[in-house]
Amino acid sequence: MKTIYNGIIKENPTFVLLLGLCSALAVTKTVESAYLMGICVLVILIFSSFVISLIRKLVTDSVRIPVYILIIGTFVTIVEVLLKEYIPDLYSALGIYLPLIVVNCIVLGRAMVVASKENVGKSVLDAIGIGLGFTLAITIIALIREILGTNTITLIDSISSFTGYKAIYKDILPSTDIFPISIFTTSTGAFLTLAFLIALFNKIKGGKKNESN
Amino acid sequence: MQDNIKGILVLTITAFVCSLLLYLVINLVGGNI
Repeated sequence: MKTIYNGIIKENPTFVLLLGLCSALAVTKTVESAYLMGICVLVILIFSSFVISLIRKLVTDSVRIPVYILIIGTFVTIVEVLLKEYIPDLYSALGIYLPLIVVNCIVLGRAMVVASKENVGKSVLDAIGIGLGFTLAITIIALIREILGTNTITLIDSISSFTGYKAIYKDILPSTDIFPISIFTTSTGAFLTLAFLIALFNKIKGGKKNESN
Repeated sequence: MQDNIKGILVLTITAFVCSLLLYLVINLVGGNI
């Protein structure tokens, strides 16, 4: 439990380690694509950490990175094939950022730092923590960006063919002359939101540290 | 030298197993890449 908590709060990949920001900022236009991307990363992280930890004693230093990339690439392709076959709308919504999980620093980083050194149980728990931390972080970014940028919350839209219903909430806040602020739908808005959230995260963490001292 | 041979062997076996797994999954879902 402590390992999972560590992954979500102390070593949050987006707010603390600042890893995998490319996909984190690109898919946070809607809440739906953000949490679905997070789930994809979580699944790939769990399976790749499990396999890498299982074969950690067989892999020598000289072939470590090629072997890890091969394993991560296999799981990413499996997820890609399954999404293309069963949820094609989601596959097209995530676009190029789905195959790019192969080179996502979070997955490769955890493979190098944790899965190649720790036992299977601890590696999988760490993967769950880091995956949940990433999912939570990008969902919060997407929520703020979508509300401020378009005044809507899209929970279920592109996967409606799979679930059978849509869940899009419009006019969350009263519209004015300056609201919604369309800059939040652009990449500038993504960086601004991330910067404010990192500052807020550090402030909360700093406050807790001072209290314990 | 022995480490290099072991490394190449591990890499080859991993590549083979990964290809086999992908082949099975693609055939199972009947999807085309």
